[in-house]
Amino acid sequence: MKVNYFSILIFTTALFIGSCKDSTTTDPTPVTPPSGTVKDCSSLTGIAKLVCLSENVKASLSTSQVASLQLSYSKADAVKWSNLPEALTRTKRVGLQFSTLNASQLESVKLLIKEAMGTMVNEGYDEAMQILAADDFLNVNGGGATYGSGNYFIAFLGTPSTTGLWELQFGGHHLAVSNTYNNGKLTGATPSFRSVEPMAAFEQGGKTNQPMIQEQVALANFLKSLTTTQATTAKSSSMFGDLILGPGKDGQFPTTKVGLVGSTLTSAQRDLLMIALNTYIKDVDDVNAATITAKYTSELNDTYVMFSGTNTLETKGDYIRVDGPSIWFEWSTQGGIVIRNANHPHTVWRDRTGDYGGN
Amino acid sequence: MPIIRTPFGEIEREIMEEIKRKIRFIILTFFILSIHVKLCYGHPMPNSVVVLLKERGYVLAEARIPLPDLQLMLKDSVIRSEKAMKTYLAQHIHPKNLNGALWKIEIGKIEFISSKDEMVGNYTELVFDFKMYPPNDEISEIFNFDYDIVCHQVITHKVDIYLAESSVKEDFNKMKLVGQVRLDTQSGGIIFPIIALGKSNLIDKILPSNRVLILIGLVFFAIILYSSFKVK
Repeated sequence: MKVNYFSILIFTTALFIGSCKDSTTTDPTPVTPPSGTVKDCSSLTGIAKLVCLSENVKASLSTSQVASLQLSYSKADAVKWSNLPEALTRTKRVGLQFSTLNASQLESVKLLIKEAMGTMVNEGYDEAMQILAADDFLNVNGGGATYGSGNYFIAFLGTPSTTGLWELQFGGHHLAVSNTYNNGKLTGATPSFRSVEPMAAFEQGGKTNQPMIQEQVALANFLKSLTTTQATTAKSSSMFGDLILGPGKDGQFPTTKVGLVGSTLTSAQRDLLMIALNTYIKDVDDVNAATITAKYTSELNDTYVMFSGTNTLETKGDYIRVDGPSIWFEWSTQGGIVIRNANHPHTVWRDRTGDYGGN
Repeated sequence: MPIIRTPFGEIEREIMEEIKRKIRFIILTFFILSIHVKLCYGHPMPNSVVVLLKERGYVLAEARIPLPDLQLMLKDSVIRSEKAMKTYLAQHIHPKNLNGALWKIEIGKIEFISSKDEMVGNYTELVFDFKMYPPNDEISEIFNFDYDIVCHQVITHKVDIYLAESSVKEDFNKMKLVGQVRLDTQSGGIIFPIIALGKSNLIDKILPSNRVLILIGLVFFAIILYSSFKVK
């Protein structure tokens, strides 16, 4: 019997090269009938409106989709967030993937996210949608199917209610929203991860996007306001290629705070610092954002600022940390992944006592 | 039917041609396997990787450092100077017994290679090997791997330590991860792992330590065998 060794060779090559790569999955999008009736939530406010919109999301879904979305509250699922695209992260996200939603279901989900994240331009909901748009941009600019707004997830950990414990978990590549509610109140808006690639302005979805430029400018404005002496105290001799407390680093806050203590800042510097932090805090609804801002402002005297690299936060290796009695914030400027020769930031906002609502 | 004389006797031409095809196939398969080994030799950035191999009287190590993190702290002129780099590297490798007795180290060849990672795309790695000699030439099965290249300065940098069973450059997923040098975020200090080398593998003692050499030897044997066939 004659054997075609050349064919075997090609097959062997493909087999071995293929074995080096991680497999990725694609999700079919079954169009299924909704399982409930949509309610009018427009007259409601606060947690009542959020719960109403959450129920509308479930009402728009099929039974199997609701089963994916609605999970019991567990810390084990709450910690399943990442800065990485779903295809590249080992800790797989839970919940419902956007690519499985039809247009009206997606619209219902976005109404809920908008209510939870606030309506400021380039912050909150608008910022999140631009981060998703950035992933669509990466999809068609070299990143391929690993990237794209269809690869984001939403989950309810615990049943949305005005009395019980539940978390609205929403995220994907470069985005993690972890709003925990208990007894009708927002008990934690962290961990909250934000990043975007490309960092520079890009055209996507019929508009110009640059969702994190306000954050970078505001933080740099604060750093540039420091005197030489203050900057020397605030500057670390260590260097940072990434965040210290990114995903999977829950509860590992340093025991000793380092850098420049807030009590030595002038009133103008304190204002600049809070303006910068508010570009993150205002990613939650206005009422809750005001409460959090008031708390962090009251703790400024015991809050430390440390940075490394330049004070523009544009150069690879640039880093800033804000570490207070409650707040933990980090920004790390890193190299481009899909868009080469262009830096992009990774940033995380945590709360020493409020991550996952203190659970 | 033409007859071909070989070292093993006379063979018909048609059978000989079939044998030749099989030998060509074997040679090319070895070639592809060697390419595969190279393709899979990746690791998650931005970690460094050190692969340890216990030999008689010393531990052989190969370290791979992603250049981007190295460039955060060292000038290119230093990185490209073999002498300066060897000095720097030696200053940051201090293996020791659990009683604190230091091991002697010997830095080998330094080179730069191109790597690719799904998460970070193409990047360059600095690769070097080094030998670690225990005090009194007695390798203890456990030692403290005090190694802080890059991470003494770039504190987010991590070093994954693998233990190889032979010096073949295989996929890291198939090697045993035995420790990690990393920042302890709570204390701010670097954690150096205690490495358990384990007992030596009997096969490794018998066979040459580098399986790649075995493969090359087999390929050469096949080529010599092939070329020794003469058509009448």
